[in-house]
Amino acid sequence: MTLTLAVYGKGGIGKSTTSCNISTALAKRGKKVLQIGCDPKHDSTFTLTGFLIPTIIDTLQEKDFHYEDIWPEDVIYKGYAGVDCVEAGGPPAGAGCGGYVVGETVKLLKELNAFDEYDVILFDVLGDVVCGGFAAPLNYADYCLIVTDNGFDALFAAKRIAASVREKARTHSLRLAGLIGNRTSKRDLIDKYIEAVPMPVLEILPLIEDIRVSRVKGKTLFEMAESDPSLNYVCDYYLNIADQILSQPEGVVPKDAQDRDLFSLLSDFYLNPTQPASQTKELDLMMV
Amino acid sequence: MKLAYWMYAGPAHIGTLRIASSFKNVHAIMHAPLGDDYFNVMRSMLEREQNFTPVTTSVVDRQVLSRGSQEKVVDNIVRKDGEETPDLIVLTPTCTSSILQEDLANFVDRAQMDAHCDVLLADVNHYRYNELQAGDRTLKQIVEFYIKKARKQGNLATEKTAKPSVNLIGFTTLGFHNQHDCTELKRLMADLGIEVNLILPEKATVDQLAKIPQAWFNLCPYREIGLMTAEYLQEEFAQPYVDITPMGVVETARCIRKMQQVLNQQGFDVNYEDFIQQQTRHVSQAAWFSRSIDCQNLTGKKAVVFGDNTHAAAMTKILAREMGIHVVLAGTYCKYDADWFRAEVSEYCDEVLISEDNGAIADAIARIEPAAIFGTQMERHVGKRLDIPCGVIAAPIHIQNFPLGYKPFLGYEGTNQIADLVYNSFTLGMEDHLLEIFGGHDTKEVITKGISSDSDLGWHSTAQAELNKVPGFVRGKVKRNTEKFARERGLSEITLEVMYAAKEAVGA
Repeated sequence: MTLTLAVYGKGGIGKSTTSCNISTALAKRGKKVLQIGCDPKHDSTFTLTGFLIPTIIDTLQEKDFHYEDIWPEDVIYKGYAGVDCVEAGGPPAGAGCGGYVVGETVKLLKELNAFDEYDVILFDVLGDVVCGGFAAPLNYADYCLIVTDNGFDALFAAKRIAASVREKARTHSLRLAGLIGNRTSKRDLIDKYIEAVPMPVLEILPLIEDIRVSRVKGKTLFEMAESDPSLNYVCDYYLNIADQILSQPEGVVPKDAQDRDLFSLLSDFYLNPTQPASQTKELDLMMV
Repeated sequence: MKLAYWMYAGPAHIGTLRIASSFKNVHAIMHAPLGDDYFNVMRSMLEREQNFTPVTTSVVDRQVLSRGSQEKVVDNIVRKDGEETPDLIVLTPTCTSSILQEDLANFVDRAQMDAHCDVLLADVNHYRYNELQAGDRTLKQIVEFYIKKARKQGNLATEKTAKPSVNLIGFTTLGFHNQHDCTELKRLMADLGIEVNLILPEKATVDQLAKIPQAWFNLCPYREIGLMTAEYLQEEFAQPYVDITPMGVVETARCIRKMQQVLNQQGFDVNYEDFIQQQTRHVSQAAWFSRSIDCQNLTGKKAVVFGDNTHAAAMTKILAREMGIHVVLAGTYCKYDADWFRAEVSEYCDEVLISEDNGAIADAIARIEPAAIFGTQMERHVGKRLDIPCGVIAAPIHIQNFPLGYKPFLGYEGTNQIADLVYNSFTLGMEDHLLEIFGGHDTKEVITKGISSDSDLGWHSTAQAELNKVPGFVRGKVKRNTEKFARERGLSEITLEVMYAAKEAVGA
């Protein structure tokens, strides 16, 4: 059975980098993986392929929207570690409908029977669930993963994504697998958040310069570690996430939290800091 | 079949398109997905015109969705400019395409560089306004655009005409009996010695709009479309306007007196009293007819009125004041202008209903059981189901509202037409008995459905047979009362016993 994942999170939080490394980690565990970039700026799979692959929309345009003329090899490109890559693409901002493109991409891949051939399919979706189209991956996903950091904005965005998971979970077998803390050296606010809205934390990655560099180089950490074994410890973070997902955890349907309550909860944290005790605990964690 | 959704006024783009295609040599382009373009079908089906409806759809298809419109809309505007050489192209989105939030103003600016005609984007919020409001706005927008343009070019005709003159504002394509109303008002103006300077927007060209200010005043017979334009013109040129709907003998007279006042104020000495007397007594048949023995039958009969503001308000006044009919309920679907309606009709009816919910109106009719309904095509359907006659007095329109014969609702001929409509709508004294005696056309099976289509009541065959024995003209009433009785007591089936018990309860 294909395991389908959808990765969401605030813009610029590192979804694509994280997705590419998780895909690679899953491939390293012997799984056949397809990563689908669902962002009109179509750079989700760059880290895997090392170049900007043509998008589904480019291909459709080229074939004048004759779906019957499109073959899987026209849109699926091989990336590092055998991870297959697809980019949905989309219109420039202010024109057309990006959500439509995401929905169409999923439909097209389904028609091509592309979904049946993989052990894991990972959707990397843009910033936030803004309309039905960008929520479309949730219709197919078994698990939603949210990438966040220890900041107010990312956690508030996570809340909104959790709300749409909750909505979709009514009719789909969708669960929230958990949060991935990226560039997170301190997790006090994350803790505060999951206290209010209970959900698992899959992994906390500290701020690692090499991850940023890998993105620019168009290489996953795994590829960089081939020549620089000192980076293996970073790969372990992603392998850990992959292992957790492959164990098919129960996941959660996030509970409903009022925007306003959460907003004041999170902003309170900044405005009335009162936990000097937890500070040392967080420091310990950073040492790990 | 159950009606899933019904709206009395269409979406905003229909209003814009009605205005654009009312003008002569104006083309409209819709930025719309397939299916939103039914305006063309509707108009060519209803308005009996030779020419094609000047509306083109720039289709929002999958290319547009996935890549944006790019050059498409601009190309379509420029192409239609070349093919049709219109004076003006109006671009409008629809509700669906406005979700895309594409920058249509930018397309218009770009198209304007290549097109020879003027290009305008209809400035309407599609999720805030309905057809009528959008029509009112678009007309004002076009008028304002050409007034400003003429002013810039220095060819604005600000000098008043030598003889008193009027602009008739608000006549549109697909308007309820608008063509006939327009003809009637032109005749009325001729009788009053007032020149018709311009008629807007029907059959006007945009070049003529520079002539608007030379009229002595504007007349807006319809509350829904034209008023914004008149208000703008009053502000801009201190050009007065009359907004009394000349419908019915009393209101037509009031409208004429108001016009007289407006002309007198501008130094033109005229007195229309004799004309009003002459028309009321001799030309309009309505005044004497409503006092005749024929009409005595109607006195005190109950009626329900529902429609747009203009027609529902005017009709309520006519029924109550001119025909002695008891208007139990007067209602409008123009929720955005409810205060005006309430103020107009409150003293002429028992109840006012402001609603866009056809179910609420149907239920009110079922509850009131009037002798006749004066409503829209929807109320006509309701009336059919309840066996209550209905005269159609307002849009939503139907092919029946585009009669080949001359049937105005405004002016003195309008009073005759309305008197006929009212009189003929009611089931007359002997009619039902004759049908019964001669076994006339009343061959239809008794309908077991009530007004709500999911009626849960079943009629036992013996009760059904008994119901069939009831004379046709009261059968509907007996059926309704029995069902009401059964529903109140939570009975799911109507047997003979239930029927008799219901009869006892009513005391008949």
